[in-house]
Amino acid sequence: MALGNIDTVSVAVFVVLFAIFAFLGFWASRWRKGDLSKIDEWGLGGRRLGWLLVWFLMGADLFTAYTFIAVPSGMLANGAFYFFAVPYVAWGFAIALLTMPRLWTVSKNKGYVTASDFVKDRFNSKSLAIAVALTGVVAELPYIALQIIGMQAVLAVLLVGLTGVASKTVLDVALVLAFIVLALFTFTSGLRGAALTGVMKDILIWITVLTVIVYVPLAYGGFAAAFNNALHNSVTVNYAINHVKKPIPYSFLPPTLIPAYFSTALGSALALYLYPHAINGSLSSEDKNKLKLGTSILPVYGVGLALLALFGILIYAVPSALALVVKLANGAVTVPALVAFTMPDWFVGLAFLAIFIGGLVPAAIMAIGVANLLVRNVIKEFKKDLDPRTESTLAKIISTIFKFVALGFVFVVPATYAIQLQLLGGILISQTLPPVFLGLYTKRLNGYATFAGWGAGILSAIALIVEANAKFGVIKTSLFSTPLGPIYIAIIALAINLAVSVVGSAIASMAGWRPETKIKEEEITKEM
Amino acid sequence: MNGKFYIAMGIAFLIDIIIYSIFPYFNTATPSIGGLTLFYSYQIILLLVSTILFAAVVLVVRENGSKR
Repeated sequence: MALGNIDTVSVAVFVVLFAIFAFLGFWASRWRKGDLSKIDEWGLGGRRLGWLLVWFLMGADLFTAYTFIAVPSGMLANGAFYFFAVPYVAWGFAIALLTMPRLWTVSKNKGYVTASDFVKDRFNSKSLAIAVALTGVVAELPYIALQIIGMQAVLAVLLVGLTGVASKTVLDVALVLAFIVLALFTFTSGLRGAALTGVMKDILIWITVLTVIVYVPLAYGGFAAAFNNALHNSVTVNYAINHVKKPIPYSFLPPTLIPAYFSTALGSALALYLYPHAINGSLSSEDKNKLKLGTSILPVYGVGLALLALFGILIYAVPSALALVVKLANGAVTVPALVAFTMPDWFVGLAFLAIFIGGLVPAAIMAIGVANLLVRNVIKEFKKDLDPRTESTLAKIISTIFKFVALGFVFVVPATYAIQLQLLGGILISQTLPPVFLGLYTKRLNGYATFAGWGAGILSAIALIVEANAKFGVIKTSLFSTPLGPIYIAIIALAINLAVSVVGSAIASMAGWRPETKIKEEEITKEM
Repeated sequence: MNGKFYIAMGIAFLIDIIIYSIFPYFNTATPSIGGLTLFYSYQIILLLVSTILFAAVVLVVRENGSKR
């Protein structure tokens, strides 16, 4: 039974491509066995490659479940506010250009592999370094959950197409399947396999994005038709997904939300390159200038993200797709539904596979990378004589536990609000900004004061998240109402964090403390 | 001091923040291009502007101390 254009051809294409992908991952993991504790080894995609290829790979890594699933879902369910993803992307890369070249240089000079390595020497503080590492670990978990939701969304629509049954059970089955695939893939392919299949993922994603964003608007009356339909139908959609009987603002941003828009874009931009996986990617570049040039051109990729975001509105031009979203009451299936009803069957299989592995590969890389981070920068600080075999076994066990924890996040955040998972991680990871980013520019911050600032930031973040969501029972918002309007909690917590760090450092200076660092200033700017 | 690149980049970042923040000028439903309201088309075009801005800084303002 066919739903939209999904039929056995779609499923066949999906399965065949997945088999190729899985085989590649399994084979690649056995190709040239490397030392697992050398985390930088898996960044080998960036070595000896021109800036253009670096741009291609780094950019394609941006197209994860966030781009395909969370942002369009947010746009459909809440309107123009979720377009914050566009200034977020532009500003995020500006911040990357202000910070990553410096981190790259000092890491190359001193042999650092993680931000935590740098912080430990810069501040002469083990506790601050451990705090940074732990925050990185915890912040990645909601992001992994987001990838699982993306995989679930694609499988759910595929299953609906296969069985003709559109119900909540389908969503549950899809979730279990997604999780099992992630666990098996991580186990058989490891970090090396996942990174190498990333190239196949990137190629498929590119093909999917370009084809869909050109073809669908052209074939379905462009955005004019979509916006027009949205004006008449958004109340129905709002009621089905949010249980609110009001129209959704699509045409422009309601001015009361401007503080929310600005602060969410800025907070997310500050967080982007604090994530361990983003830092890893930057540090693995062989050449600083290629890193800089490649990064400076990344906003072009943002155009793809912007157009995909607009699919949250474009779906109004395809009533059958919109009906499926409403029936499942799940915004996360917006893009898969749109593709299913507009593209030929074989392309649906390809596109679904692209989105599926677009979630699978980052999730696997993050789960493994973060387990390694925990072992290297936290556990090893307490047990220095860990032998390599125990280390890698420990990392494997931890990575499996993480996947279960990430799964837990999926139940705390409704799928339509998948973007909240990203925003949640962003709130936490942005509390490492003072040690990591400011540490790249000044040694005048005191280790204890900055640690206290981090603590204040984390505690206030948690308190604000709980308070803002108390009336929902699940996590639906990252905004806190202030006299200035609704503000992204990351910014508020960061402000408290900075205040404590700076004032604390000033007090320490007055009490006679002087900076003691193992890093010379020129090691941050000059390759030695 | 070889902070020239970072100062230039800092200025570029500030410019980028400003052009994205002048809401009264672009946060409107009309004019719309191809059905897309100005709110959206403006911000998308700004992505290309940002690219030119950042790439210009990277290409023009050399960082001293890089092996070149």
